[in-house]
Amino acid sequence: MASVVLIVLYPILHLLFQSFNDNGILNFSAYGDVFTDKHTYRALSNTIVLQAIVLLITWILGGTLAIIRVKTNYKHKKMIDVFVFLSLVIPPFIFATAMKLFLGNAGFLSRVYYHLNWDYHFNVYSFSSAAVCLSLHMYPFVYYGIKNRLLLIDEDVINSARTVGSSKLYLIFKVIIPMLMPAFISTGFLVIARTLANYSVSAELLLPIGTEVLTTRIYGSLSSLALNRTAVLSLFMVFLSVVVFIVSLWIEKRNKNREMSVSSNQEKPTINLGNFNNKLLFTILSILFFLITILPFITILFASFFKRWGLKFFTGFGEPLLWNHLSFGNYLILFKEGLIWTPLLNSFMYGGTAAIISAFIASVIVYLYNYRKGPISSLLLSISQLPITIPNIILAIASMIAWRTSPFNFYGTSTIIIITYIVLFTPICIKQIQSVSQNLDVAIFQAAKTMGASEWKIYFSIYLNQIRNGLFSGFLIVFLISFKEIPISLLLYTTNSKTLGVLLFAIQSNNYGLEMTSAVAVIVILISLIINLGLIFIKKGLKKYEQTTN
Amino acid sequence: MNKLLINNISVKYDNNSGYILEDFSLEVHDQEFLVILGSSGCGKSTLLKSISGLVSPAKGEIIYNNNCYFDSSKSLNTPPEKRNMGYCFQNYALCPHMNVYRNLAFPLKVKKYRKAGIKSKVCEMLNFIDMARYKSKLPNTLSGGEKQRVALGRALIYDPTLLLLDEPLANLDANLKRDLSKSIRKIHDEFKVTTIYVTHDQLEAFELADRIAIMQEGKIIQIGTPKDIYDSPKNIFVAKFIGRNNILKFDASLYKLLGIHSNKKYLAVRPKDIILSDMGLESKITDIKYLGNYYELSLDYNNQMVYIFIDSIDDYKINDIVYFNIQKYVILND
Repeated sequence: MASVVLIVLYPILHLLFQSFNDNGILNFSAYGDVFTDKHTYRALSNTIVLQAIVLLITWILGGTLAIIRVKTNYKHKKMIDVFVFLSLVIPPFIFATAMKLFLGNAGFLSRVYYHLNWDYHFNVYSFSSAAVCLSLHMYPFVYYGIKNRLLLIDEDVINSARTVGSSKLYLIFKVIIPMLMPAFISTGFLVIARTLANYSVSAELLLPIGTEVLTTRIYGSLSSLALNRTAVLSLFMVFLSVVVFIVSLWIEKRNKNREMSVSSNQEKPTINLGNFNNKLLFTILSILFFLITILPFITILFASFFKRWGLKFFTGFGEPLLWNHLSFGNYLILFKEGLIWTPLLNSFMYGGTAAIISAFIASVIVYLYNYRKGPISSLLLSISQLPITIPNIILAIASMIAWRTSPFNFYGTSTIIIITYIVLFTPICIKQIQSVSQNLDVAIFQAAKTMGASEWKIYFSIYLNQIRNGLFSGFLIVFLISFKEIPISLLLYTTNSKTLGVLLFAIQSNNYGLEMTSAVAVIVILISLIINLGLIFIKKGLKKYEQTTN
Repeated sequence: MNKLLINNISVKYDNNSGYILEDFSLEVHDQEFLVILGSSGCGKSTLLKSISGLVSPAKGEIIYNNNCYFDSSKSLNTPPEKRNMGYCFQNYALCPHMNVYRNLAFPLKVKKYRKAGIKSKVCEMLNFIDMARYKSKLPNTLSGGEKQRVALGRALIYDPTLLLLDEPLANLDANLKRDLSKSIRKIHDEFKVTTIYVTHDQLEAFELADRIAIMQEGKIIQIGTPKDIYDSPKNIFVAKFIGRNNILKFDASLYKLLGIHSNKKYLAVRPKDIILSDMGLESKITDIKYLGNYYELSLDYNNQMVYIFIDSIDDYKINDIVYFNIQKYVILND
């Protein structure tokens, strides 16, 4: 377990040390540089504006869909679940790529405008575009949070408010919204933290117009090899993330006694929409989901079959789209020329190895915390959960700085990616395992002890078996992340350790263009879908198995 | 006169299901404590929801205090917030984000009471329900009994003209139930509010009720004072539902013993009304149970099981042939 402490704390301490390291002399000069630089504050204010816009969009979109899903008698509720799930599966960078392909100056829509002799002025490189891309990926968090909260609201609380004379408005503002508030706040913090940590969308849609947010400023600073400034900016971002995390924990704790027990009343009265409103809502939602999920996916899919070179459709406006403009060429290059095999295999290898190790480490930490209570196990749990507050890009920078000097010189090897993945994945696995182990009966372990079983015997024979659901879902969730993850592998890869995320992000700069990016994106989406569906089927299967064995 | 009249209401939740209540009628007297007693799913809670307006019947009429709240023929349906009825839910239904004080003050705020009036009324109610020391606590930090007291207080604080209580003691343990049922009756007597109390627990019903209405499958089977119901059950369902009863099928020996002849098939006899004697109906002892103050003997009479209570079993053992007489009985409708 000492190694867990080492891989988590060593890079962070190194980052701290680096922030004072001015060419071998320890001083505060980098802090002075960073905090007197107006660009830092501009990046910070841009980040805050972006967070505010994303928060607003995700709250409105996710909240409205959740209310329709739970509180109305809308006939096509499954449709909402399916499309929300699809949005979650598509990484925000792919939304950004789709947006560029469809709405960009040389995008599909501009070509339609050209044919119609209309002027096209939409600028895809803007705050609103970046905010929309991030929101489309993150509104499912709000949707799931509000949906679960709404399902918990006891209908009798609302009924009781009605019988004492509440008007509908009074009921909404004094009873329903206050009861939904904890879900809005907790999902809001998640959205804020994720927007703060996002690099790829800002790099894709904001950097080209010279607008910086904190992550792109850090990356820029790293590119100019100003390591101490990078370290200071990184620590500043860690500080902001930790503040967000602590405030969200504080609010969660404050709201603990305001939590609702599951309603015993299963007849959930819904808002009766009637036939006309049902059809109207179906039309509105169909258009909405077409625009926010189907259209981006179709754009990506379509673009993945486009030829890159020698076609007038691309080199000049005015040519109609012909079948011979389409080809399997992008996929053939990816598969036949082997462009995708190494990154795909690397993602499998690094993700798989890190996921197995993380799941094992997490299971031991949770076991020690639950059944060997003491200051050491509590400290171990806290340290291993620390990275949950740190954005991926900062984890990558800390690893890069820490693991390139002796005695731990892993830079340029696959080990550095795997170690950083382990640091990133372990807290996620801990969360999954903890949710399962909370329901375990302590008496089982006490019974095993009275029968003379050793600690390891209990861990392997009883505990691992009892937490298998959490262990497996934790493994799959982190394994899935490794296919979509960009900042860590982008900063730590070398020619031989390129991952799928790196290929997705970087392939367009290798003269392949957005068409090849789209082909990689389609593969990433398909892999994500397969793993996610696998996760759902496995969870269902395990539930069924448990029901039949209990 | 705060009389409640329910005339021929029919209720169903959706078009695909049958009626929960069908042509249901009931009259509740002014200041009466009426207990609706029935097993789960018989429609008791639906009845309360219909009275309060939370559920709209498909047809019928609900009149209270000479005001018509629901009349399907006139398409009249007063919403629940306009009916001024107190409703206490089985699961308390307290707002989880409001402390005890704010939960009690909530109905008064809704009804736009002045601040000073709210304060004095809430303090008065806090003392009445003995919750003053918990006024700042959130519902989730209270015990079941405490939550129930707050829920009752909230249902009463705005002086409703009718109090509807939906299994308010169902989630509590036996001792707490006894204490709280006394408090509920005390509240009724003090506030003099017409009360309809729904339960499946006959002990609660007998402790609290002025009258009991027995419900089965959306219909009232029998209504009367607890003594009427206990002594004269109308049919097999009520006889089986209320207290311990032997339901015996008439045969020639029974006619002869009781000296009657009836076109009805069954009679009900309480175990305490059967005595063992030297003569009477012949039966065999199949089981003996010790139940604390007395013994319960199971007798096989012509393949019908008969239970009787006796103080001592010194003279009896299993498989003995014994004779019994019936002191009191009720002839049942089928």
